[in-house]
Amino acid sequence: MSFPERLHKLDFRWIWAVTLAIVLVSVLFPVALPMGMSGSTRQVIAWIDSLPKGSVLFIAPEYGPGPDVELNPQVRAIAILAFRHGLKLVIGSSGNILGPQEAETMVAEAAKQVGGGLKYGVNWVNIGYKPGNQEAENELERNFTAGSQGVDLYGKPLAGYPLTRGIRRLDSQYFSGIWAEDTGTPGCIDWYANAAVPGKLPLACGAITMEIPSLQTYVSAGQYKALLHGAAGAAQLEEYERAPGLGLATQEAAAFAAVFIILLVVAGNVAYFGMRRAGGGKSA
Amino acid sequence: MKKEIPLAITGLSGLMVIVGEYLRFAQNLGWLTTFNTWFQVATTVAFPIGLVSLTLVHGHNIQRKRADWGLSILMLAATYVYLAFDLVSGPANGTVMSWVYTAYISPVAATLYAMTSFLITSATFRTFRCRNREATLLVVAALFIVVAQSPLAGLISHYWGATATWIINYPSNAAFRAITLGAYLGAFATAIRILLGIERAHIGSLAK
Repeated sequence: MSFPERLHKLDFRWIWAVTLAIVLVSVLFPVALPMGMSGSTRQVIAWIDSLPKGSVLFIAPEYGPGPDVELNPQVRAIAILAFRHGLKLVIGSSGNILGPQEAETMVAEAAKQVGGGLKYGVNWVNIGYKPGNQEAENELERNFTAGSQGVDLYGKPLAGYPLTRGIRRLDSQYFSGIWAEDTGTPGCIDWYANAAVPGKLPLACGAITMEIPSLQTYVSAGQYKALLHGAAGAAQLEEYERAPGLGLATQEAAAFAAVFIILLVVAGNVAYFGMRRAGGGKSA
Repeated sequence: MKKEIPLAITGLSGLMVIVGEYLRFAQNLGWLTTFNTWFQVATTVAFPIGLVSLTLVHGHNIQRKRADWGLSILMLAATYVYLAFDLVSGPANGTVMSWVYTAYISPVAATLYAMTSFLITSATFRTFRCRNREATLLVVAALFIVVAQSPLAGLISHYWGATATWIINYPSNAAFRAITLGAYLGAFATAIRILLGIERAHIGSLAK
């Protein structure tokens, strides 16, 4: 068997084994690669900094346990940035039941990181999951109490917290912006159409890497004010904030995996062209 | 009438939402708020219906001792025990439900999600072939984007990230706009067909 043929018939388990080895070595022997700062992350920081100090930012964590590896670091980093800028947070989702729970852990961690005695009920409130997707978002914008059923994630009345006591609507009178996390549907576009536009609120978005190309169209059109790119964006924010977390921890594995993917593409094409030159019939 | 009544309900519901959304008198009367509340109730009711359906399906598996009926027992036990804990203690930190979620559900879901990385690497080897000019362009663009998402891009060259940004902002943007426009036009046409009763897939076997 020629080399291209052997390469073409390579057992995938070898590829998976090398992938696992790369991830394990990166985790066990971290190298601390510098992250730098992309234009999109700079835009996120500029947007958060443009919001009035003391105002309320609505965070919509529309994700569950799968993509939380990419989006939990984003929520934590955004919460740190927001708290340091003096913003208060209200968290709630309309499409993903587990998102608010995931976000609550991250925001609590961010509050601890920032320090200064940030407290639940005063600096942030989590209204939890409100069923109804677009209708729930619409309802929050029209009537916050009706849309949230007047209770938070723990079933306690929103009127009992200083932060949410007077909030009537999800609009520019009570909030300064919306930050939505996107893994598909429902996602940023739903919050944009059903809450941000009618409520005249600016919206920025964080998304998993796979969603970035499709969401970039809305940033280019000016509909989304900023877009944070997956775990890499979260890692850049963590480095900027000097608050290392899961985002930074995963980037070395991502870097070495990217090198491995390039090698795989080259190897695959070497096999393909080698087989074609030898006239070895159909390629894969 | 078995077919006509569900179609009439569909059309009437759609008409009510359109009227509530776009007509001033209906907005003043707060129709949309009422419809939103109905929708939220309907969405919430869907969860116990799903639970009942799940219980019936796996209950039959257990009753008839079909293949893997033991897994059905495990599934139902996990579902109802977790439901019981949630009803009793709620989702607050420090409760059993919170512990089960943090210690089990979240890591298992993350593991399943992480397994896609292995499939992606083997798929990369298998499918990224420079068969022609367009395929070569796709492969080169994909490699630019993959590296740009990692810290490597900054280490290699400042222009790498800039090139990746250009690819996302211009050619990719143009393609996605075209796809999105087509998808939404298609969705709009399908919605009109459903409201007018031309499209009947949503009423299932009654459509025949």
